[in-house]
Amino acid sequence: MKKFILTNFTIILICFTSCDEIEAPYKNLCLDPLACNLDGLLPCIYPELGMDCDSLNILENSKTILVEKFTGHKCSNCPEATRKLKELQQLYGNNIIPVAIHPGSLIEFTGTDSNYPYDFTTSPSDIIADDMGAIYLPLGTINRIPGGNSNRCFTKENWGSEIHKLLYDSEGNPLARSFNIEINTSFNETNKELTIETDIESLDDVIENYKFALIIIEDSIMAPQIDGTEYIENYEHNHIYRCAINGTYGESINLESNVTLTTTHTMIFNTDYNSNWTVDWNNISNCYVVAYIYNDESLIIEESRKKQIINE
Amino acid sequence: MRKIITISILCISLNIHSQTPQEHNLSGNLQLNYQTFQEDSTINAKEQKPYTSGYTNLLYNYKNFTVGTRLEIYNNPIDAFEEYDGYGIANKFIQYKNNFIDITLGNIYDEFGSGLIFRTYFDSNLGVDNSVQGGRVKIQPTKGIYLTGLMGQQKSYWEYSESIVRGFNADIALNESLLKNWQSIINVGASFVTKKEINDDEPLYKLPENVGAFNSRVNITKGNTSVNLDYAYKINDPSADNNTIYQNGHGLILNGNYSKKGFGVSFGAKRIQNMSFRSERNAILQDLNINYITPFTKQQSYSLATIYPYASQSNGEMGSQIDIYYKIPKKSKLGGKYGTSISFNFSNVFDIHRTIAEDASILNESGTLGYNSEFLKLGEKLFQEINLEISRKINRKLKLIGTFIYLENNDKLLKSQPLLEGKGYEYIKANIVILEVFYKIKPKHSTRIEIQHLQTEQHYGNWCMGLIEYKISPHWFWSIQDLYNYGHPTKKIHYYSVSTGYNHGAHRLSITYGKQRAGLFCVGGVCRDVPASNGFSISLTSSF
Repeated sequence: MKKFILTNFTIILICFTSCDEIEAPYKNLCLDPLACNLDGLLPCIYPELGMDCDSLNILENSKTILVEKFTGHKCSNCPEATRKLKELQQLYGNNIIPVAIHPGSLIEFTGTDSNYPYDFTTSPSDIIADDMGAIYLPLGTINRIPGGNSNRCFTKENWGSEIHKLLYDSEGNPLARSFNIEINTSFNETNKELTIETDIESLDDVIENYKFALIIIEDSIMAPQIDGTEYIENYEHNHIYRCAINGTYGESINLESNVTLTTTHTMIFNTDYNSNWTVDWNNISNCYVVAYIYNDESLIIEESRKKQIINE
Repeated sequence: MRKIITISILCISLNIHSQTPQEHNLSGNLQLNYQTFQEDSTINAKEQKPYTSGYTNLLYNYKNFTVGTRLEIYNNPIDAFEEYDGYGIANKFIQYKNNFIDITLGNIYDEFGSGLIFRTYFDSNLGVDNSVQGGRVKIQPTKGIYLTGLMGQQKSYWEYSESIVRGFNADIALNESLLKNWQSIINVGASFVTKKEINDDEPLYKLPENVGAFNSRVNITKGNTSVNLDYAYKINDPSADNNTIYQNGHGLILNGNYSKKGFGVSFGAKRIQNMSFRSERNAILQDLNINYITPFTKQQSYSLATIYPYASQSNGEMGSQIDIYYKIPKKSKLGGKYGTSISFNFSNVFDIHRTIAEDASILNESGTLGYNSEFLKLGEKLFQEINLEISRKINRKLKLIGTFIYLENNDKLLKSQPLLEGKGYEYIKANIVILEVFYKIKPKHSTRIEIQHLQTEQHYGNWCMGLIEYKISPHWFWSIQDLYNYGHPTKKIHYYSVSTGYNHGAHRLSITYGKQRAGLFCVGGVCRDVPASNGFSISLTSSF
């Protein structure tokens, strides 16, 4: 009896123990880097299904995912999250829209002093950060879906898989988007007034309660940042949340199936909208309008779009 | 309503007395805590609903069988414990045991060797419960050989991870089987643990579905001396802990002990490289740890000595520790009438040295090997501590314990302390002096006084602390204490508290009112960040 037990014990242990040693390269590489034009990083997630780089990169009718990255200029681990997001942008191209938010409530990471004089915080983004559960940094929301590490926030290691689940079904086929959003802008250089015309069309038959929000984000802000243990005086901060145009959480919209709803909003680039937009400020060429639609009950973002204000 | 029922069950279990006929035995223990919170802007304490937490362990033995369970409740938990919110059966198992085999089904707590690749345990204060729910078989095929195999899913708060943990452990007491006539006692052991985690939709990296770790160890004891060597190896395990790098993990721990009457010395050294091992690669904080890194720093209990603790760094650390204990004999010139005990402890921990790996452009770059590390080359110092404690009984009524601690805490790298507004993380150096006085007033009446001072030019500056405790044995105690952060750069803060308690056999009730500072609460190198609080706390513990 003892022999029988010992033999079975050994067999079971041998059968159930194994490990996988991964050989370099550790990243999923592009089959055709030139076609992808992505520094060798791929969109070839399901090459066995015959999907090539182009088909995954274009994703004409698929969703666009809004990634709110909560960060801070005194957060030493945050640049690592930025690099991760950059890799995901290389992979998913324009199918993800990053927005960087510096939560004012985490003053130890976002406060200003002589070494970090630039104030990236804004009142509406502070509210969003608190509501989404940004209790430490770096974290990020993915279309504000629930179920993250803190309320709707995920650590950077989860961003890729969560984005992927929103973009593709289990077979690897791109998921179709439910809304078309088209943004048109006109900018008056003299008084710095921006007019935004947005066309929204629901592609679903079932219309629920949705809200529509417009924000401005800004690239290429040169200001200090801690990166690991290194203090970088001229770090390039991108996708920075600057202001809400139609309220922190936008406005309710009444949609009908396959009928285009057009909205018009105006705003002026001055200190009323953001304290950094003084009369000397001159970075409009790096500013973008981001529009997103979310379900008023689930708060999940359904679709988003980004448009450069001035196309050079 | 169901919460009330759960609390009632916890309380009723107090009244269940153990029954000890030969074949039956019921035993258990209970802990119940209740804490109120009032707003206190001076210490950044928030007002919130009262927090109730508690558990009761029940164990029933019948012949070779043991059935056990633990009921837990957490109602309105504080920030660090919010994932525990709820109540129910947190642990259950059934065990059959005889001289040859030990089979357990249910939630399993176990440790292979020193836990370098596997340790599951429950610590209610830290909020750690990483038991494996599944099956375990222990076999003793012959004298001196002990085999363990287990498999299951790890507990994470009220849920279980989908990953599967499997482990095998062998311990061989060579003197019981092969080396029966040897004077040295030699024990060897080996373990292998794997976790299987399904690769979800991670698009960027190739991830291993099965991650394995191996551990071997040897312990040799001869006379008063013993030496223990423990080595662990883990294959590539890209995770949130290591920023998704593909470095293999290594862990080496060496311990030595010598002791004789009145004198003891122990020495330890360790090197840990990339040894974080969790059921889920994206788990963080204290969640789903499969292994445990033994701390090589002194476990402090005095209030001010716990302000700047050290948490084990599973990503990389090299440390050493030496403990020396000597008792100056009684009735000697130095030792006095009752003798004098001196204990000295020195510990230091360094980061491992890292250079950029060939396949990476920056240190620790995701999707690469991350770094190269020379085995014996030290990185930056993370922590250092010197402890000197002298304990002397002056007469039948008076006993004194004096302690001096010097510590260095490289919070620039550890980043574990709360930050001052407008300041960054600092390299903290502190001197701590403690005097503890025990005085017996009359039979059964005694008092204990603690006076502590922490001096530092960094972080929150200087602290002092005073405590007076009065005890009437064996039942009552009262105490009053105040921690005063008089060196704080912006606001001088008192953290006062008053306590009373009653003991009766294995039952203890204590009530405290006062302020609790925010900071790291650590047990055995495992730490949790707890928020500041101000209010009442009531604690009941009991075993039966």
